[in-house]
Amino acid sequence: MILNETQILERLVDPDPERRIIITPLINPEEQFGPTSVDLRLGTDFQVMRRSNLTHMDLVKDPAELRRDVQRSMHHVKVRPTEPFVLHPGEFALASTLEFVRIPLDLAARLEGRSTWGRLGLQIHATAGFVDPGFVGALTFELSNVSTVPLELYPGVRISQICFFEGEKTRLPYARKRFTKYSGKMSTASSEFFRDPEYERIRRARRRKDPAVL
Amino acid sequence: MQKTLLKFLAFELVERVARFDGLLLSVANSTEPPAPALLAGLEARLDALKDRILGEKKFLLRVFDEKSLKDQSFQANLPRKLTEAIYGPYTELCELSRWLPRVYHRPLLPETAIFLRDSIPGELAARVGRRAVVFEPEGESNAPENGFEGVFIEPLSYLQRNNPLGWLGLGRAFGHEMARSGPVIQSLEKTRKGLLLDEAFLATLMRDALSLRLMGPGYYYYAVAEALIRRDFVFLEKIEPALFYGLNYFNYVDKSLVILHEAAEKSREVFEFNGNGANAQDRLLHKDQMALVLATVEKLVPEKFAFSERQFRRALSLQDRLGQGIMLGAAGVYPLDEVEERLACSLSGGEESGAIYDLLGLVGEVPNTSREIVNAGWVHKLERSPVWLYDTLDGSGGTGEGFDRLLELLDARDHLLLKSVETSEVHRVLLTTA
Repeated sequence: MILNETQILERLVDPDPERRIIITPLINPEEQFGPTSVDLRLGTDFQVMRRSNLTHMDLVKDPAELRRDVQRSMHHVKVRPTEPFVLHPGEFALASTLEFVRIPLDLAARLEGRSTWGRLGLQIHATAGFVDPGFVGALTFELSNVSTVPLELYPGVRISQICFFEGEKTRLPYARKRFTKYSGKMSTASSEFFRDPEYERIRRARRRKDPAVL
Repeated sequence: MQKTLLKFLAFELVERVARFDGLLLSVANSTEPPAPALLAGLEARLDALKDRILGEKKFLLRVFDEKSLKDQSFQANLPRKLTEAIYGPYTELCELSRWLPRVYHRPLLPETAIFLRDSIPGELAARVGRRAVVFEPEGESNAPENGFEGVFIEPLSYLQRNNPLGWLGLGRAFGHEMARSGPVIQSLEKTRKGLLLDEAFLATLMRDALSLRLMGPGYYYYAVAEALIRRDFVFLEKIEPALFYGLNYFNYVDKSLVILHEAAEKSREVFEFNGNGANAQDRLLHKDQMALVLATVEKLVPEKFAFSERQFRRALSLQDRLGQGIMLGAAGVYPLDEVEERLACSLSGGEESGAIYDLLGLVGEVPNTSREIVNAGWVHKLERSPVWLYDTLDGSGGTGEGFDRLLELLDARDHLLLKSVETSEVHRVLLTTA
């Protein structure tokens, strides 16, 4: 069941901390609330892929080296509240919500774009709009500009909306998952795909096949 | 009370070691680590230092046991053990820190500028009369920012660079500059009123009183922590009692501050001043001098620029959120239970749809100031540090595992504070343009 505005509001002030949704800062709820959603704002830090720095991602390299490769390929940008971040046509950038969000264990959420920005060609996520129960931290945007003109994005602008779905309380909250990688992140985090355990297995298998491979 | 002092002191050491480790780790993980041989050498020396501290864990963990503290042999050996377990390792850490600039080149965090803009208004900074702006956030020019002109800011030590609680050191640097500026020196002259008061001592009192008025009681925590780890006996003997008097003067009264003050008083006994310390009469005189200085500081830093008692109460209420890992950049205007009650009434009464906007208005938040956020951080540090210290020293697993866990906790808290400071500024901008 998707929560309506009153149910979201009830959850924001729920006396039981386990059931309470936390979205902070709630700067102007009258503007941010919709019938089944709450608008979220753009934060101040961005990461842009530098295509010129890397030929490819060698997924079976040593994790420490891969981490360095990822860092080398990402350009970090931090803007002040009155400065825009310009997303050029065809460009992809990671960003995060201004808000800190905590989802109770009996709710899941979806992060979606706002049509106002969709009409200008801004996509706020490529594929990962689902938010697990128990998520804590700032949500990540995978921004892309599919229009033909650059978009000026200011921190604090409402570019997305979050809606909530009620279900049974999970016993496997996101923050306590054994292989969680992004829980509790407060700023924009780049991919840590190399920490997925299957890469270690692939590396081991390759090593057995060819001892020269790391 | 000796227990509080020793825990606080030992935590200052392990925190700094963990932070040093964090800096080396960030350099090692950077795309092109500079001076790899030096980096490897520093890492090895730091590992040895961690082993040395953990080798003293039997002594350090005894500070958690009241019975041990009362033991006569423990008391007799305390000065020697303090040197072996805390001050010796700290001296070594300082020596290692001298090498940091060779491998670590990152500028101050941009959030530092937000804190300084909030804490030191341009109007006040202009009175210092110095134009040197040393602080340069990443990617910005040398030009002073609006409302930030004329501030002379000392570079922060590398160990405190990413630590929002360490920013109060910048407040002290500003207080120092302001205490030496023309108008303040003239005020001090009037304060002396021909009395034979030590000019340098008055200037130091002025520095600390100004910093306290601008930064809030977080400055007191900061100053005591620095004095303890650096064995700054002059501060602990002469300035701390006067500064505590200042806390009361500005109505920054809280249990944690009293506990820390009593712990600092106990330090006189623990550190053995060998008769060089101040006696009770001296301390009374220092407080009288502080009273004169505080009256002057109130005029120099009017209410609108000062960290108020109300702000301190707000900071105290925020530290719980920090403990729960929740961002504290903003806080609700109305208590949650009040909003919940209004909502329940409204729903049972079947109000019209327009009423939902009245209810939504109740959950809107207002931004906290970065000074409130940093002060909340200090209160939280004082409360959590004994637990974190125990976990670091007593942790099972490999040598450095306890330090690794501490670094994670410190990182998480730093990021929460930084994001809080940052969002509060965006929040303020959005309110002013609304």
